[in-house]
Amino acid sequence: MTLWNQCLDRLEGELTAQQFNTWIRPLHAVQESGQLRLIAPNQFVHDWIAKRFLERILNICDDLSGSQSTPQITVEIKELGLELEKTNKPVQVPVPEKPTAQPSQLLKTKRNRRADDAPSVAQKTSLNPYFTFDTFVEGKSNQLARAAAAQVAENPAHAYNPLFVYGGVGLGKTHLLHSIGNTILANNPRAKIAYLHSEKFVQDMVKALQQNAINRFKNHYRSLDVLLIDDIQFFAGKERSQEEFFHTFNALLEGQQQIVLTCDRYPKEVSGLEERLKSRFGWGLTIAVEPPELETRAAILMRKAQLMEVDLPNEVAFFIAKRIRSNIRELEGALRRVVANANFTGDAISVELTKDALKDLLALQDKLVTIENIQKTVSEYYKIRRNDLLAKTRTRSIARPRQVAMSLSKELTNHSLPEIGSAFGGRDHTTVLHAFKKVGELRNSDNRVAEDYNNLLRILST
Amino acid sequence: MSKQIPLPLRISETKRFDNYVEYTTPTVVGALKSIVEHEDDKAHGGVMFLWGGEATGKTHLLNAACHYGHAAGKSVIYLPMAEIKNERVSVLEQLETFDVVCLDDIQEIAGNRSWEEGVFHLFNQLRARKGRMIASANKNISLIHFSLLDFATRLAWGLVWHLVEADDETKQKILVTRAQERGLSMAEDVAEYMIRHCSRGLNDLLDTLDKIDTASLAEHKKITVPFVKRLLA
Repeated sequence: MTLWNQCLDRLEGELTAQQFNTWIRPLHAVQESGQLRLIAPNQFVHDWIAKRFLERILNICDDLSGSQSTPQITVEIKELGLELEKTNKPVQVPVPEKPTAQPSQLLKTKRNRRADDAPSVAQKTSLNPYFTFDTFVEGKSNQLARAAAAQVAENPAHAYNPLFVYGGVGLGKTHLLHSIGNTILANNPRAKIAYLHSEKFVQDMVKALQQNAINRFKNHYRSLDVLLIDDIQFFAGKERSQEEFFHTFNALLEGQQQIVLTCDRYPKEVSGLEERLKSRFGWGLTIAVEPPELETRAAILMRKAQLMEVDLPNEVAFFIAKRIRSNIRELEGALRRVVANANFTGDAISVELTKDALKDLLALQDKLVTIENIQKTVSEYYKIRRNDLLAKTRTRSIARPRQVAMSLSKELTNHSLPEIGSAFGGRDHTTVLHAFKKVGELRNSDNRVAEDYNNLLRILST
Repeated sequence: MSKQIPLPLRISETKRFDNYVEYTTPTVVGALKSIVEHEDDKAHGGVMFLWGGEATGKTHLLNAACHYGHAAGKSVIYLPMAEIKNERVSVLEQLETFDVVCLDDIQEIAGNRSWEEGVFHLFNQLRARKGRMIASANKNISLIHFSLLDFATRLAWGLVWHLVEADDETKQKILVTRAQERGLSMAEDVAEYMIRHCSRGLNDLLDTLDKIDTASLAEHKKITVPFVKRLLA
């Protein structure tokens, strides 16, 4: 047993499991020629160890070494270097210079670079091979975005550049990004493609600045054939990153290289984003992904089940799809629970098993989806009083939210139309029906109403 | 005989899967082992979310996952968010290099935008590297008021597991197991007596076990029903 393992045993007995697993277990120990190097994952853990545990570690190691000389113990910080986003082509990346060592009262600190972390050659592409157009389930809500993405994939830098896809969380934007990348790669295995989350761009840039490697950073991103960048709303408020991205963006467009961006909202609505960026994002095609309708949700579940090699009966797919409307991630999460339950119990997937597996989720929904709660949620959303919804007022600012609330009550609850009418200040059932039809029409013709309705659906069904 | 004054040390209880008293089917331990071992990505998507009320074993399970992962050669880290949230978000830097990251009491960072974003980015980078995230909370995701909806939906993406409170029979087993780990011999009837006469919350019962342990050491007495009865009177 190595000295460090013996030391770990002692510490495990002395500390709580929480302390041990937070601070001690994550240390990576390297024992070599009279030296024990403890490598902390970051500066914070390093400092914590130095301040609170190092003395004890030294004492234990002294004690364990007995008559033999205790190795010199140092605590270091794991250094990853600048790992530029993976592309499908090997990229030679020079090793950055070592930063200056930081003195500490108790220990010698030095930065460590592990051989396996060396970014000398970037690894394989960061594209997820499972996210393809084949596995993307098309419906009314996403067919335009899918068609645009497919065109870009077949004709990069010539169809729409940039392509800007926006929509709520968990609606398949990332899936489309990967599908574009995978298709381009299949058509041209030599294409240099990078998929990354905007935060990774920010982190790489910060690291590049720290390590005096900003030119390498710029060259890397500007040399791509295709840049797929996810969730650009996280650029908001990060001015230096926005500026760098602005120049990268321009360089790529000028070089006729493809850019595809996603965002959780329409570019003009992202606060904290420079106007010049917002304007450039609109140069190509801006397209929305809407929440999927019932049939698409059921089809998505069946496709996911197929990929999991699970037999999902139609009625179960529709049962889940009816209850979970908010987004695809939650649909997938629900499916996983059902499958896990079936696997552990050995029972076939049925509506009964599904009800049992999702009982907490369903109970919570039932609690949320009452007419009273719909009225409360709608009035809070539109910033009006709940009593206004029940009153006779016919002004637009009250009547529209009332129609929305009635429509939601019809869609989300099992109450009869007269019951719903009665809950809205004793209105007639034909008023409820009219409200339902009116809101349905407006959702198709007025983006604002559609967005409000979808937001409310999401709030009430998550 | 003079009373021995026990040292004010609480025995550090190792939290492992083999000393977790399983009381539900399907077994949460099986699911956790599978995710830690990086098996069958399709089943959990690399993320697991455990939720349940007080004393349902969340902290035990997360620490046991670290213990198990370490033994299986995985790099692991456990973060108690209730404490960590008071520190700088930079504590999360480079944690994406771990195979398994366990976040306890994730509800503690709800509404704290910088922490939510920090964990969200950690999640994305961990996932890109095929790492695992196991999180726990005292309530289901939809009842936690995260300001970053994107983060909440990512937690709901994986395998969500509801931990229910143990019934009395299980609590009895837990008491006997914990007593054994401390080297105490505690008969079933003592545990049964405690369940019947003490506050039945598991944490309260374990606190009572602490008291009994201390008193038995001080008085050199065996733990019997009359001893416990006198102590609790």
